[in-house]
Amino acid sequence: VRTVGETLPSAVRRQSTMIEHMMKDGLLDEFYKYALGFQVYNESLGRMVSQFTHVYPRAKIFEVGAGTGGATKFVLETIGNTFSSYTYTDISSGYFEKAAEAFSDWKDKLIFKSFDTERIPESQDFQESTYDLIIASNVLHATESMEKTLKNVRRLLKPGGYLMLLEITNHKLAAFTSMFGGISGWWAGCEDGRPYAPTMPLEAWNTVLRQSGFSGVGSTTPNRDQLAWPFSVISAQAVDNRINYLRKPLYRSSNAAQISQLTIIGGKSLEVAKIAEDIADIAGLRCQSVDSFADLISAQSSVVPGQTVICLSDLEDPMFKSLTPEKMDALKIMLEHSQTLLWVGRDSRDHPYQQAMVGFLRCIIHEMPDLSLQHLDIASGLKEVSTLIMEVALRLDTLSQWKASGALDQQLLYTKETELMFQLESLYAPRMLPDPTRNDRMNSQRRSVAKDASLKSNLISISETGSGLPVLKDVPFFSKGKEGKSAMETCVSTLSALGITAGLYLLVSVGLAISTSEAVIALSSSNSNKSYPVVTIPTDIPGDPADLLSVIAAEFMAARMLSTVVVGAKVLVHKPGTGSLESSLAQALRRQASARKFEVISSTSRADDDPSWLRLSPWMHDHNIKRLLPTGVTNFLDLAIDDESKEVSALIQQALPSVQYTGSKDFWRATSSGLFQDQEKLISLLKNAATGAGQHLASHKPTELSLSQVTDVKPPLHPATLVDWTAEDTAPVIVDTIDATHLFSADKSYLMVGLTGQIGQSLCEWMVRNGARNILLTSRHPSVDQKWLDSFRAYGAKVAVHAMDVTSKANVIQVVNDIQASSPPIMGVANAAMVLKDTLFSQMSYEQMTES
Amino acid sequence: VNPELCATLPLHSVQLPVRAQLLAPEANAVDSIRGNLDILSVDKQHVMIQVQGAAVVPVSMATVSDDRTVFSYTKLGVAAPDGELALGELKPSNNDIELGAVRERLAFFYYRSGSTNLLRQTGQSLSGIFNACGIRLIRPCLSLMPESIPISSQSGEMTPKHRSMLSSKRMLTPWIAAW
Repeated sequence: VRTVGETLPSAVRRQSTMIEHMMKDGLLDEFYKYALGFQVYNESLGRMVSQFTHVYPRAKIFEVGAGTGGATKFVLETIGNTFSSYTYTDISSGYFEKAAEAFSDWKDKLIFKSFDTERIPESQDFQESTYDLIIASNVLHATESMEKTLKNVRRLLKPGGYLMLLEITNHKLAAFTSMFGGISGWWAGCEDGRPYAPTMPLEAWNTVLRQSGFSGVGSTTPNRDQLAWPFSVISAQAVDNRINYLRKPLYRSSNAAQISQLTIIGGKSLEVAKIAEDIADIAGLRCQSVDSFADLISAQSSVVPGQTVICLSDLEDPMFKSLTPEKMDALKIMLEHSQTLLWVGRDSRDHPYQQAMVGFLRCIIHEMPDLSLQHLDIASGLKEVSTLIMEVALRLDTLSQWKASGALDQQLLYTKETELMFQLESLYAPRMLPDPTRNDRMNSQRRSVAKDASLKSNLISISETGSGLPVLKDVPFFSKGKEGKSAMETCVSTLSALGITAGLYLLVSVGLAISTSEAVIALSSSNSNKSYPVVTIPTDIPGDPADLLSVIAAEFMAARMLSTVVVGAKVLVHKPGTGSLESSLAQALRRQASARKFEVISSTSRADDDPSWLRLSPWMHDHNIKRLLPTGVTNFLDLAIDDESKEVSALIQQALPSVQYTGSKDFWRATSSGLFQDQEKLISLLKNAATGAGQHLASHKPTELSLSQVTDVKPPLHPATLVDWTAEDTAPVIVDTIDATHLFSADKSYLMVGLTGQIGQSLCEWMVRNGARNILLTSRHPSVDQKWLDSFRAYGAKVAVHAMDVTSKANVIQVVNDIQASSPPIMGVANAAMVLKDTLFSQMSYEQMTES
Repeated sequence: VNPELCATLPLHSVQLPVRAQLLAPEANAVDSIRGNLDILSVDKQHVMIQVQGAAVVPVSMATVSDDRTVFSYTKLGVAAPDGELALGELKPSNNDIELGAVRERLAFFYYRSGSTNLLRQTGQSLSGIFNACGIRLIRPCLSLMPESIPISSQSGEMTPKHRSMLSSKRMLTPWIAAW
């Protein structure tokens, strides 16, 4: 507002144009993406587009007036790759180069073309009725004739396709006119009934959309505040006679024949009887003949070939809950003689018997391709569902007639769903989607799978690559390990495991105990965002946890370095650190040395380190090095990391051949290792370090890496480099394969049902390799080689085989009782039992059905 | 390799016994299959060639296009676009609401200062392009007012009715203040 307000006089005097002021420093671009309310509505548009791509995952999308891609960004980021092509258009082609760069992730699917909404698409080399979805964000209003523009847009769409608009629908705002009034396009609608602003309220959109071959405002975002959020996202469906009928099948006529015979089944209970009556009443107007029956068995006697059936009986008496040979025969007859069948169920997702029908019908669709079949699941009460059921049945019937007569050509966007769910006044369609988390985990066995993982929902850990560089991994399980007690969320940790006692290397970190939200200092064996530390102590030292940790880590390292040094010793420490870290470690060393009466001398190869340190260069003659070194050195601690310092430390070693040498690999390692038995000792070490640290909080800012920096790290790195786990919400990780070593307990039993064959035996071997020691394999008729069973004795594992029929409850109880009497408690059960007798339903006997 | 033993092999081809182990893959070892291989003498008493840690490496590494899609799930989504679900429960924050009002108020501020300047500098009252814009700008705002309430009293003072409107109708606040 200010930019325009202040530059308006100059624009009015034609000293400049308004658009150049508005575009300066990307202001306009940012405005369309992030100005008050824009982001929320851009995201809503993205979500609405993803609702569409859920149903039509291979849609051809077309964007009008994409400009700098303000809306495109939100749309593409929401829908990912769920579309066939995205035609990115604008009246000017000047934006395309930058857009192609910004959306390079989708480059194979993007098509850039200029398009003027005020001209007929054919004249601009676009084909009519080609696109499934058109997106127009804050663009269509800039036109002289809205009706003409919308008609041009409509020409591009297939009937049934959608137009999605993001528009300012509070046209009475002064702010937008004051911002855009300096641009001629804002006044384009002057002669089109939009004299004060080109934007329109929803009711005007509804009218003009209906006049232009659309359904009107089909659905729109609710209004939450007219001043702050004056926007709406609008969807409108492109209609023709067919779509108009499908939208309101009860009130319109189709060019298909009426239903000649409608059979309604169900109504033994009052609730369902009422629904069946209502449907019959409604259907009376649309069908030549309507018959109602209380159940399937009574309906089978008066079957009319080619009939349309609405079956409500599962609402009161689910088929698979009480299947009888008679019911099964009736169902066969019904399926064989019907043309169209709408099967209505309720709350199928929560009720296995209802869900069994869904699964059954999925098979029937393939077995009887001529039957037009749909399952409608009613998930929010049966009140007033009769109209819905009748509408759904009419659509189903008409679509199958159209399909038969070839009226469903390429130019209609509509899907014939096989399953629908009705909940809270909306219809839902199911789609099968790949599960990226699990697939990534599996594919990580074959290639290195990288992704961005959220720190909130994933377990991320730093481990080491073969080349010694740290790598972030997305770990499959949050396991307690052997040592874990209570879980901790890490705030900041050391990048490397520090030497704690001889042979023991652990990560030092500061975090929050998950159960109490208390700040704790911890020693852990894993470096992750969540861990079960070996030991923790609470801390109440205020301030930045990184400052605290840097001093604690220095205290730990100093204590470890001096632990083998005896009283009266003279210690030479080479390169106690670089940059700010030197102070913490060097100070800790000096403090601990003076407390325990040693002398500590530091040396370095760099000119910019502490001036009190001994300066030795790799270019010095060995004679000079000898001369510079103090006499009487008893211990040499070599902390060199970079090449130059390492050369110097080699020279020092030559010069001091008889001095006790300790190298850096004794003080830190990339990952934790060693056994920790004495928890008391670890706690006392931790307390000592914390006390020492509390008195000498760092004056220098420690070197802290965020997770994305960890992966970019170049050696050499000082071991006391810290990792900030809270700086970023996501991290670039490598998906870790499943390490099953901790998956099974030796003191628990595992029951494998229907798994005595090859798969079961292979699984069993794998389980034993990964720690399982008590496994019971069962199936109805097991036949397992005794030699194979005996081979597990070598591992100390007990693998037994039992005959068990999992469909017999008594049999299962008996086996479970046997296990409980003789083996450790059952920890895991795997079920692979099934009976496979392949036959079509029409030829299946009742026995075959119940057996499997 | 035991060269002496190898030298004892006859010139014609013979079948040699082989002892081999395939090593269990290490975690994240995506690049190779490893194993040990011993080629024994015909009598199986001696080892002719012993290979430890032989690695079989693929000619080209697996890429995304080699991925397998084994796991899937069923997702339910609305069958037709739904605006209510697209916006969800989002509401403007108090700060957003205030900012929306301030934005309106600012628009009127610049409108007023622009027209005053124009009048002062050109001597024309609301003429030319600014005139046109100005009228366009004010009319819709006036249309928000209930017609029975006068905009201001004759003296230009705010009436008690105005004050109550100011407190009750947030929409009107910015432009009245600017006026």
